[in-house]
Amino acid sequence: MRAARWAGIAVQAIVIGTLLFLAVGNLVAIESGARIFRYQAF
Amino acid sequence: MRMWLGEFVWGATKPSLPALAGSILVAVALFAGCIFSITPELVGGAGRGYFVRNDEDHYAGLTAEALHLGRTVPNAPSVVLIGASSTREAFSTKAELERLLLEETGESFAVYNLTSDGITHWEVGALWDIIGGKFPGMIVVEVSPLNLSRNPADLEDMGRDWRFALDSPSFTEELRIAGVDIPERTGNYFLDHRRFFLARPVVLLNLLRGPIAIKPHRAEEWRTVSGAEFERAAARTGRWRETYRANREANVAVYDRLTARMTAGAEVKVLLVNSTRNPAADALNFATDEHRALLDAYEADAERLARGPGIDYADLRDEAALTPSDFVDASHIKSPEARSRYTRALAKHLAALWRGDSEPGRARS
Repeated sequence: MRAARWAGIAVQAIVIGTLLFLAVGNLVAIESGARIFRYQAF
Repeated sequence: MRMWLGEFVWGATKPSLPALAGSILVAVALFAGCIFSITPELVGGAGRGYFVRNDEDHYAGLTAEALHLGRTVPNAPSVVLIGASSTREAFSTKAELERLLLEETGESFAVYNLTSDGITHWEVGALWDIIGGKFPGMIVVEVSPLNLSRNPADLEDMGRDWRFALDSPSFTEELRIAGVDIPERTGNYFLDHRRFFLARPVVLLNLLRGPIAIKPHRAEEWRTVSGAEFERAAARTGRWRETYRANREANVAVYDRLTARMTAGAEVKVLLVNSTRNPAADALNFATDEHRALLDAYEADAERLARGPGIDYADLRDEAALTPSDFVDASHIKSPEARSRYTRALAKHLAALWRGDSEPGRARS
């Protein structure tokens, strides 16, 4: 049973860790003004 | 089995210290993975096509192409085309230029297209840092009124908002010459270009959808502009008139440094090509004597950029017989026939340059 619980904890850590990574990346992007440049013809 | 599932669900859904520690560990591992695994070798190699947002993400596509070319040792002589969107839309296809060059010279060339929206002469230098010395052949560099009128102070914004993920000593040198702040570098590719990568989180999906090929042209999808929109586009492209006299000297010097570096190894010849302009936009922008004199000054400056052996200048607009109906706006060609004419004219000039028939500094059309 302990193995099942640890497997669940691992899945939770992977999902939340990935979301945390994306959220922090997004915050840094916003803070640093990272953007895709677009060309405006007119 | 039910008990096993219950334990799994408990572990996956209940907050716990191990889950918290594991989450932080996973996030840190992902950041560490980016820092240590995202390298120029990956972006220009196995990851080519993956670090682009979509098929119109030209800056990311050009970054990967340049890094790829910088890692490649072509067997055949190469022709590298570097220019802004007007040259991108004027040029037909790599295959057509390769075929025409084979017909004109009897030699096989590998053509690389490194055109991108609004590329500046400073950025051309950065591209040369990556690809220079890697191939014998010819390089086509666009010359435009916009580039010869750019304010060196613009480099401050460009240095901060660097559009390409490329490390460039020459760009840093241009920042120093312009007297603007030089962004600090850590020496780590991902950290130094974090804004480039963080602006493109969607590239993670490319792991599922596969590599993306950048569209060689974009004008096909642009709708025909209205009369008012055309006038706005023409006015926008004519804005260079306001800053030309003040900045021309500094920008001519940038081109001179660029062509000197390109031809230093003597294995590369440089063809400077004037950017395309819609004759209808020219009629609006150069209606007065003062503006016509400015245009003449630009044309003379552009032609004089081709100083020294192995450098030629060409204005292909007359030779390609470009008419207002070939354009979608003030500077971008939409007609496939016009692109073919332009590419044919380009091939003739490249062949003459390769054979050594052309005189440096002479406009040939």
